[in-house]
Amino acid sequence: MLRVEARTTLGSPSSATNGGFTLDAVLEAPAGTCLALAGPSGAGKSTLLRIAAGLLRPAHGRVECGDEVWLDTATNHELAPEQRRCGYVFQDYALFGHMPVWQNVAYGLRGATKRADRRRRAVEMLERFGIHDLADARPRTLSGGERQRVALARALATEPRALLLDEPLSALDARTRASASRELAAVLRESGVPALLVTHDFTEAAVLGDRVAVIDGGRIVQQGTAGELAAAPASAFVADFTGAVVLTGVAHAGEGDLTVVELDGGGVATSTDRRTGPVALSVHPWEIALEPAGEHVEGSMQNRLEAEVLTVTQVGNRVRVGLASPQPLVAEITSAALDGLHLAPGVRVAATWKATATRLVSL
Amino acid sequence: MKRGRWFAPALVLALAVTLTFLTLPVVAIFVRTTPGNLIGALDDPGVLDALWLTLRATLLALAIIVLVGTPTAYLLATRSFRGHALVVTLVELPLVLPPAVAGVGLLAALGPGGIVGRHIADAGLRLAFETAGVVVALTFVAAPFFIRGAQTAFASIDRSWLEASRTLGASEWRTFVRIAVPAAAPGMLAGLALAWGRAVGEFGATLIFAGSFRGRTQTAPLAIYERLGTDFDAALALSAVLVVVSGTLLLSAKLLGRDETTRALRAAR
Repeated sequence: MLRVEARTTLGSPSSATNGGFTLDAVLEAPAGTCLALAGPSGAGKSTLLRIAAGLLRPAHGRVECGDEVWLDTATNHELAPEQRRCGYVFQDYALFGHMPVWQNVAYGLRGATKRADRRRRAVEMLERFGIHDLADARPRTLSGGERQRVALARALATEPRALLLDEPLSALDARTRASASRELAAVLRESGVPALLVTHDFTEAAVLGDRVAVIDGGRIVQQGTAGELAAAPASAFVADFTGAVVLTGVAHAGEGDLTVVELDGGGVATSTDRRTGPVALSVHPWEIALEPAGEHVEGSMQNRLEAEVLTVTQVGNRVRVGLASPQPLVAEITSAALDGLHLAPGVRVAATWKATATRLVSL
Repeated sequence: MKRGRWFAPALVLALAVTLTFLTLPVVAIFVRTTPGNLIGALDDPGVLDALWLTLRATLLALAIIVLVGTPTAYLLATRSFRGHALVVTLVELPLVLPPAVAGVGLLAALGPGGIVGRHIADAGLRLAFETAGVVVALTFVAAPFFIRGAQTAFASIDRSWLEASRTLGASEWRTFVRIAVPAAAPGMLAGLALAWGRAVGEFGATLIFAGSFRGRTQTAPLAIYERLGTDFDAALALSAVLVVVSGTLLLSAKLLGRDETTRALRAAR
């Protein structure tokens, strides 16, 4: 179990009004699991990681890993970064440019002193990642995916007690990212140590994290599995962050058990959630279907908004359609569904979705 | 002539005047020195003594500068504290201090009656007008050239390299030796070459603090000055040697500090 607790003011105290803010968070990652810390840039994610590693000391805080206390500001107890044994993967990987790959990996090896020994163990570690043929290469000659593997091999070579990963996929291009993500997920599963992973991308957090903690403005706003967060976002921020469409409006009780939301800017939506007053309404893009404007077909879709198509983007076998209704909406439909609709920017359509797929969060 | 047509030729003219003016004295030295009297002058034991002393004194000064200056530069590059800018300015002061002032200052501080020199003299150590004094003067004027280069080189190392080293189990000392110094080496060597160039050419501070005694404190520039009136050929020959030494040092500083090394480091990140 890795537990990080910190309360500290970030930014210089003099700039507290512009940019400085208070970080106040508690994180727990049980051994063998990965906690993904997700949030926008500047939310304090990397700061928490640096506190865990000992690269930054908070005003108040406590860091524990297993039965060791790494930091306790109450008793003024602090272990230096080199005494903590945590495998840290930096955002840009921070490979030492003046050393070949194998020396990078051997840098943190414990207990091996002979050069030949160190090299053998480093190459063994590289073999696990399928890149032992790069042992003598210089980091600058490697591709992004190769650098990421070297950084992981280097971090794991220290037999770390915890893994700390700072946006480990952000330096990769979209094509490499998918495979690197699968590999990383496997590494995290096998490592058996607690892992803390920072990302600004909810999808990445969902794929790599057993649990996801969403952080905003220095505070953890919600924690849970990615599914829980997407299904029941605690705030409009979390809903927006999970990739859902977020609309605002005012809710009041309607017929039966339904809630009716008068949307800002026009239009009405219904939900099975019960709220009254100002609300944020969230619905996932894949719950939204499109049909030609005007001809309403009776069905199970309680929600129907006329909208104008702004953008049509192919993503894999799906199509993302950006809509103005007048609040912005995004629908994800299959390529097959696209053909009958003659979608193009400027075309008017109707967006429909179920009341049961509509989440309401009080504002 | 059309408006604006004169500007480009004017720039070229300015460059031509600059180049002629700055290289003419150097060219003149070699035009007036025949290989014959160059070799003849180098036979003069006084000239050889001066060159040998210059080599020993500058290398000793550089050793002191590297030993103390490297940790100083590392501290200034990696830590911020109150008065940081002031400390940096104080370290750079000898760069703009007139050498004569440096000599007088050294006398007042470390000379026989100086505020510190008095106590050194009590301990039986003399710096002023001794070879050791030459080393002190050279160290004083040349140190900022190295410290500035090293500080810039340390500051341009990616902070995450140093942090990565720590998380991989290396102490701050090991991080300094294994990561910071190798990564900053090109910039440090460039600064060292400039410091050496400055030390080789040092004249004023050395003359005032250490005097000009043959074989003991008379470095090459002082030897040139002494021979000006009596043996101009010897002065020319010594000057020619110093031109070659200085030119070589400038060239190595340029090669070591050129963008390629920095670019390679940046690309590695």
